[in-house]
Amino acid sequence: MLVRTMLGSLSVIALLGAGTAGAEEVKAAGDSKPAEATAPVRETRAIEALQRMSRNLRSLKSFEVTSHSDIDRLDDAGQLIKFSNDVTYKVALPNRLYASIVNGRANREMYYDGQQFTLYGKKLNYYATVKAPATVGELVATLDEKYGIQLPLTDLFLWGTDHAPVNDIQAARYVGASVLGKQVCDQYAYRQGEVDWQLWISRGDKPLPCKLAIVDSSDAARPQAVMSYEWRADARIAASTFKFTAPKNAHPIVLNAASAADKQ
Amino acid sequence: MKRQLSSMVLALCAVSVIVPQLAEARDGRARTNVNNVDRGGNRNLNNNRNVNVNNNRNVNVNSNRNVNVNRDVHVDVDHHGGGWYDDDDYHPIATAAAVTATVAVTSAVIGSITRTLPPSCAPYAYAGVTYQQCGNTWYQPQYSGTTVQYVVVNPPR
Repeated sequence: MLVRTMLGSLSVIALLGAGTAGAEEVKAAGDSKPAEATAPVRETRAIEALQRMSRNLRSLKSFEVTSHSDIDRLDDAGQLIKFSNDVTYKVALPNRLYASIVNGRANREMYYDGQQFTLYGKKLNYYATVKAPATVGELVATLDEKYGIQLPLTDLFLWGTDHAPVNDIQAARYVGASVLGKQVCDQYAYRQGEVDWQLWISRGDKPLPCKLAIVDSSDAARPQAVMSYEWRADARIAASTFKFTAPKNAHPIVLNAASAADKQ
Repeated sequence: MKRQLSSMVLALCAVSVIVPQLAEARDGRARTNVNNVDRGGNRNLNNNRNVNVNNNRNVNVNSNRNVNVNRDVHVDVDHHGGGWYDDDDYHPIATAAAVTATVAVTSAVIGSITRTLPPSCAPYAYAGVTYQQCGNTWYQPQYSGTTVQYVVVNPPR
């Protein structure tokens, strides 16, 4: 990607400087950039660490995870602004899920009890309930494809499935040990397509993600999302957690199906 | 050589000007997932398109009295549906136009969509869903993705 960015800049320079700028100058401009990226390294241990974590993740029968995330968004003035969010999931496989997404601008919940899915926005006090498929995996797909809703922390539901093939990973390497709070996690760096990402994985025989950082390298602004996770694996979760009961004064509304034009 | 150098500096300046425009075109939203649910289409799920249509008509009529009629129709709809990280009731990074475009619609077009309601609306339940009556205009709130939008509708009767 670095190479591509450089090439892009060079071609712009070549265009603008056409006539006066010789080949020598173009080279000089190139030299002022960071050294050219070396060929991608794909360390087996980095791939295997991801696979071990993914297998453990998929083997969980139930879990609670809380996550804090900082997500960049470019403002109109060209400054990257960070937005913080707290996400909590309570999941009992195969067919129960609760999530809350809280930030300074929204406070949303979703409930899935194996039959119905409800989206509830506390701030505006609206909720929408739709018929849901039979499993969490199908729910993830249906919400995305039918309603244009992408679950937060989607990767937690995709690692270890066909949606996250390790063959897509072009570069993988072990960065080193990292101390996150009281935990020591191993840090890995991966690249696939236009996505540069780093994953911190907990140690021991039941590895789980500690932290994830993602950069869209195709975006010149390089906005980043960083999320940390705290786990309660195999947590006992009361069945009532997944059942939505409309609070007083909450108003039912419809959940629009995403139109075909919106899904490309 | 001196001339060549200066042309190079010029070229570099031009690059730095161009880069933010490219970033703007990409929307500048961070990806929040590595993998995509829909692999077949190779779709970037995170790449929400944000279409802001601001129709601000400002009519100043000066006669004996000074009458200002501001008629702002703010249509701000994220066509992919909002993300989880988006706001419920206002835009986190609003343009000046969006901020000032408090909806003051006296006769909105049926079917038009807005992200915010004018003040003083009353909810009305009909056939299992909620409407909002704001003066003479009726809105039907709907979830589009995870964000609420309001569609101007005929009175639900």
